[in-house]
Amino acid sequence: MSETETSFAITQSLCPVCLARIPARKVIQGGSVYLEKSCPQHGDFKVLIWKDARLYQEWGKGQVSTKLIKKRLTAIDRGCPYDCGLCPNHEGETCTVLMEITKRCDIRCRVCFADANVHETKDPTIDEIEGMLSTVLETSGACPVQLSGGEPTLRDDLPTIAALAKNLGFEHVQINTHGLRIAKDREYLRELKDAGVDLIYLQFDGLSDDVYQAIRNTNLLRLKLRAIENCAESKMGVILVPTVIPGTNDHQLNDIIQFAKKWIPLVKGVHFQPISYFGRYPCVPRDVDRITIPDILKALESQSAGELKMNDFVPRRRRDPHCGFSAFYVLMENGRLQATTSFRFGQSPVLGSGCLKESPAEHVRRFISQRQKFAEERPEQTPAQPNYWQSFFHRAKTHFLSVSGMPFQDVWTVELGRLQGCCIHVITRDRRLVPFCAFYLTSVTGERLHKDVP
Amino acid sequence: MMEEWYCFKCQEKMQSRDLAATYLEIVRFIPGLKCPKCGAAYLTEKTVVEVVQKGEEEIEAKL
Repeated sequence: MSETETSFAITQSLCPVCLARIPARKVIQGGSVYLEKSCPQHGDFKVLIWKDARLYQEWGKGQVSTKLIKKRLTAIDRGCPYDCGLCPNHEGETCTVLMEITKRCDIRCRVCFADANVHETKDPTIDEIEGMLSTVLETSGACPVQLSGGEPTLRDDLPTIAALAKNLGFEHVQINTHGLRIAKDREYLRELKDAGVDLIYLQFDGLSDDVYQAIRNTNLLRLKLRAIENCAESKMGVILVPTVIPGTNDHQLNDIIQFAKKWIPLVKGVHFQPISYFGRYPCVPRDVDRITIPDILKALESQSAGELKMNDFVPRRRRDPHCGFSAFYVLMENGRLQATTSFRFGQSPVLGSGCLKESPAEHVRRFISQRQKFAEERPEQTPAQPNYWQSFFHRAKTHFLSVSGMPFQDVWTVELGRLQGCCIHVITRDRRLVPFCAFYLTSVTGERLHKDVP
Repeated sequence: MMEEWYCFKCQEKMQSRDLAATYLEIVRFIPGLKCPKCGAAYLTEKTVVEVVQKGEEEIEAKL
């Protein structure tokens, strides 16, 4: 006999087969949250979206909605999620814009949201890229830009592209890369640094080659370590970005944190990406193939023996709070991480003053611009008395670690309301801004919801 | 100047002391003023603005 279901929210989603917009409801069963939906043509679907129903409901409190987007590029025609551009119904201001500068890649991973290296397309030209960036400026202002792909370092003119973005006024430019070229080509990395690149957003799935074999189809650990060493030499900030897959690398979450600690202040953070099933993935997912936010937080707490605690992590403030988690730590003199963020059940979501003087998206943009770049440690300026607040605050400027994550929505888990609050936008070659999860979303047969051109 | 401060309640001259202050469940010292009679403790405006407020902004950047 199955456990009782309790329905607590109505929403809208998509049919995983035909991508039609269909009603959905969220239910609690056995302490977990599921999304249930039914397509008149393709039947019923039920998927796990969150393991801890109480935490799900607590995290849903206190969210902020904003509609401060400067310019809308598409009109409402077919409705969400078919009119993305952004359309007048979109709420989420851009906090980071992602631009694919190539579809090519030199490895073929078993998991790739971009499904890179499959479709024959010409890379956008420098003129096209300038046009795309100009569109971002018109709609979203000079937000942080992530140059992505495919594998962006396959382009020899990547330093030129980064410099172009900087010259147009974008304060923060980061490169989303597997790191192989910067491991092998220090001169290229220096060119990126000279062009103004602030951060390497480094694919980093774990600390053993069996993990890379399982996810990336090749041994990569040695090259990942070399890439980080080269970043240290070039004074280039790094964020480690593991794709987390149950049974593959979810036992190494704290190993990655402990590794990151050794590289502070070069490494600014660890950003976990629980596997989502769009683009290229091994199989149609069952619930056991999913890892939800509470799973990650519990694993971090247990694997670290309490150095990181589940309650260190706070939700996004913007709609939707369930899209991401983050915590901020200072590396103390004794080598342990001290959280400066905290979530309290039934209280204000965070400790401290917690008051924003700006919109949530502006706050995130400022955090990225100020914190996600190389910061020189200058010991001569460190106050001499370690037990004093002045010393702690000084240390916090360099010796911090941001630990965050964002489980992207796939065609099974997608909620249209969450899409409308999305703040990570992809600039397309036809100059639209599309929420990340909408842009990469594919049906069970691989059909894309949004097709990039040409 | 620190030596010009007097305790409002006791009228005692305040003394410069390192005060233990708790913030985000961390305890550290900070220079301040303490009444030798009643123990009331204060931070100067300069310390509050230049150390406490700036420091809070620094470590609460992610909130």
